[in-house]
Amino acid sequence: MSRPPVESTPYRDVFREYAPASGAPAWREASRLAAFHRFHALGWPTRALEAWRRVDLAALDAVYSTPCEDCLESVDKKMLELYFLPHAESNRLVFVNGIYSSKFSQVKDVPEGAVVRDLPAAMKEREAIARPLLSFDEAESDAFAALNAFSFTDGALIHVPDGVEVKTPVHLLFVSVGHEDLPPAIYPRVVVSLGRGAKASVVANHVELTKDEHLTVSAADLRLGPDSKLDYTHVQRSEGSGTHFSSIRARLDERSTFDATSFTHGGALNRLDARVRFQGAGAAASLNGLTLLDGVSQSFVDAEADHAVPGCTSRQFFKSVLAGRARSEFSSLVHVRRGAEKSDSRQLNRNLILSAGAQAVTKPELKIFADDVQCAHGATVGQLQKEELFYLRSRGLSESVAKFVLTYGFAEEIVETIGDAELRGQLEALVRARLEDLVGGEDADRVVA
Amino acid sequence: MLKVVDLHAGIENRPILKGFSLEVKPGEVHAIMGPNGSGKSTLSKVVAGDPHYEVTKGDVFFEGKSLLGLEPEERALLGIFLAFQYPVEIPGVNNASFLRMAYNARRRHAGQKESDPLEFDEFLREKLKTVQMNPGFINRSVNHGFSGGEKKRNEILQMAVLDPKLAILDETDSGLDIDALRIVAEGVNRLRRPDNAMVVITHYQRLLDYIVPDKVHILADGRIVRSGDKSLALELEKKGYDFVGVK
Repeated sequence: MSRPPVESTPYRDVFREYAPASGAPAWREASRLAAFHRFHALGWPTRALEAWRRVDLAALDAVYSTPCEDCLESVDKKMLELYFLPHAESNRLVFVNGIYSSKFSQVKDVPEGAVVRDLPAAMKEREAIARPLLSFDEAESDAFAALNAFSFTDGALIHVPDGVEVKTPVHLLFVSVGHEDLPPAIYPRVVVSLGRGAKASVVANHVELTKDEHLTVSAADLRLGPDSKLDYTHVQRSEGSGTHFSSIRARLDERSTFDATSFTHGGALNRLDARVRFQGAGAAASLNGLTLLDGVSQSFVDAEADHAVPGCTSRQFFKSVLAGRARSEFSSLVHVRRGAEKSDSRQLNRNLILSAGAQAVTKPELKIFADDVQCAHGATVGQLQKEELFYLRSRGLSESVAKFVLTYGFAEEIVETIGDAELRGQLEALVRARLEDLVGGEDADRVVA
Repeated sequence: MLKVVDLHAGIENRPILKGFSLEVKPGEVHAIMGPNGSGKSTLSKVVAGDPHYEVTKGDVFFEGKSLLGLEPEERALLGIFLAFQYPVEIPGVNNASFLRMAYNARRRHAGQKESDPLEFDEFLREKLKTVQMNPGFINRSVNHGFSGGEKKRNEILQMAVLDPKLAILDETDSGLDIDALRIVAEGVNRLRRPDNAMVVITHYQRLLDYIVPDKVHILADGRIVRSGDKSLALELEKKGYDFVGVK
């Protein structure tokens, strides 16, 4: 799969001209073209747009390399094992800088009729399934989501037919590694399609194994059939200076249930654009998110629940813990359209500021065009409450332990919603270690969730 | 055990306690009653060491040593426990883990071996019976989503676990229906011993039907205006605060 040479072109200018992907089937090329046109119609975001006003887009002026096949050689099992999930051991797909690694992957626990494949294989061997799932949604309104739809060459496809349950969670481990002189630009894509009454649990685990710069434009396209249930966890963990534009699109048919949790740690810039569209009555979606940042990391969450049909329930619960000069912004919209009676929504954003230089902006919004709805929203930005600290200290805990416990508990309220116990344990350990550095707490090991 | 001498204290430059004195001996239960704003909660916070309150005059002695200048955790480790009027919700922190942290902080301070999760679980199950709490409670987040009665019971559970020398119950009866009140009071009564003491702060006499005090004090405008035995509480109930010259 090729693309025009980018080795000297700033990223902003790479997509001026349309270039077909060599080797892609004609139907894929058609969806690429549609995405390309949409991307051009939308244009690069600029700071003139409210949603992007505070987003530092300097990463778009850098020069990136194309995805590299040889990067696969630069990781070994030892580096990856830290992130493996024993419960999902038999359904693991590993991607290195966006490219599927058959060496580290194994898919052994998929019931009859279900498909869990890397995208190149799915496009080639399961065209009848892949083709409709990779069609471009022309209503896409986020430039980076369109850019992913145009640029992706790899990723994962999970298709579960009517009435089937994939019991073993599917673990998609996307690792990024350094790449010669130029930072890589990568485009992971996750496609999940659940038939009527189908069930699955998917972890999209993005881990940086390098402190070097790189750019990830990821997208997840999730389609939930009637009465289906999808647990989805999106992890973005970074120790370095990566830039991540992530989009999650979930379309929910009647009475389906979507439970999603996102976890973001570190990185130079993280933007998560998560949208839920209710297509059938009586569906329920819950989006939880935790952002843990220090240094000069930035995180932007743009969440939307589109209540287009009656009787659906949406929950958004996002928290951030901010230290150093970190910045977080939460924008959220619940849109209740005409006729979407009995809609029930809640938006809650809480930000815990641990240092004078950290900053949080929160903007939960509601647009309601129907009667008989229940919509609640709230937001807080602040430090640890003195009453809470006194309460813990009055039980004999030192001030630093009390601070640690409260901060950890603040984060844990989101982390504990992650279904996979092993992943939850890994992220709890990460949170604990970071908070020990940030707020102290010599007895930190005694806090067990 | 507790000796408060001519205590003047307030918050944000507003004087609340204005010459409060009290002596509590081991084995005693003292009730402090008074109208809203008389300084009942301030007393409990000052004894427990809430840093928001400022002591401007007087002293508080516990087992002969001044508490002023000690951090709240130091006072807790000496054996002082405050059951909060409004217990704080701590989402994300497991009740059992929290109790074990507090318990072990106490044991470390006393030079005893820390309790591991299994030992502690057994110990906690015993204590749960004291307050007739469902074992399910200990696996929930501390006070998070608890009803008013559950929060108060959780306070008494903490008290049972920490086994304080001096417990101050700050309006533990407020917001409780009669059944919850009875359960909480029974829990407290089970913890009464000749070598510990309690100060029960309440607005109403009702709680004192269940936790029978040795002494009753009426607090008004920051100082004790009258002291007596349990009959004082009944008299107060009948005649209202007016009879002691308090509005």
